[in-house]
Amino acid sequence: MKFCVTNHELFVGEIHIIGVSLSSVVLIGDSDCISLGSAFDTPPESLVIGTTLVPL
Amino acid sequence: MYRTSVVDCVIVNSVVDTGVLQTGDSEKINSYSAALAIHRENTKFGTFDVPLSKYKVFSQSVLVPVCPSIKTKQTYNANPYIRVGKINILGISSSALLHIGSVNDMTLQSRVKHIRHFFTHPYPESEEEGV
Repeated sequence: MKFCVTNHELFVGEIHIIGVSLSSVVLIGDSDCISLGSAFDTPPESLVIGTTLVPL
Repeated sequence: MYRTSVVDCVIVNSVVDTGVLQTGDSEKINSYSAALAIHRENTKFGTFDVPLSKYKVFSQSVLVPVCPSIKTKQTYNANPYIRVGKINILGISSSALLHIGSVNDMTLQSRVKHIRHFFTHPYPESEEEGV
């Protein structure tokens, strides 16, 4: 397979972002390889009632 | 090989919790963030000590797609510049990245465990339903 890319003009006027979080990326540029991973845990069991916070 | 990035104006309000603002080219970026987000009914400051190893979310592996190596890729930059007028970002956090410039290899990972900690049951009328 032959994969040819020709980059012509790229001109962005304005970028407005509220938040970039949890292994996200805003990239103004070129890249070969990007790998992002995220684990976010809010199950119903995350509601802890009582004085012991740490699981046994 | 890579293009040059030109940004006229950058406004970032806050960069917190292993957030990164990088200007310039990078060869490799490896970023990791582990967060325990606890909402408590009340707190005693300075008495908090929870090992992250107690929670499964920090030890289990996250499935990340692997980049295939395309050796036959040819890039021709007719215009060697990426131009952006203005960037306005309120917040960058939790191993997130604003990168102005090119990067070869990037690996970012973040893990968050949320806990809502009550000392007494917040909804006693629904307790028998197991909520």
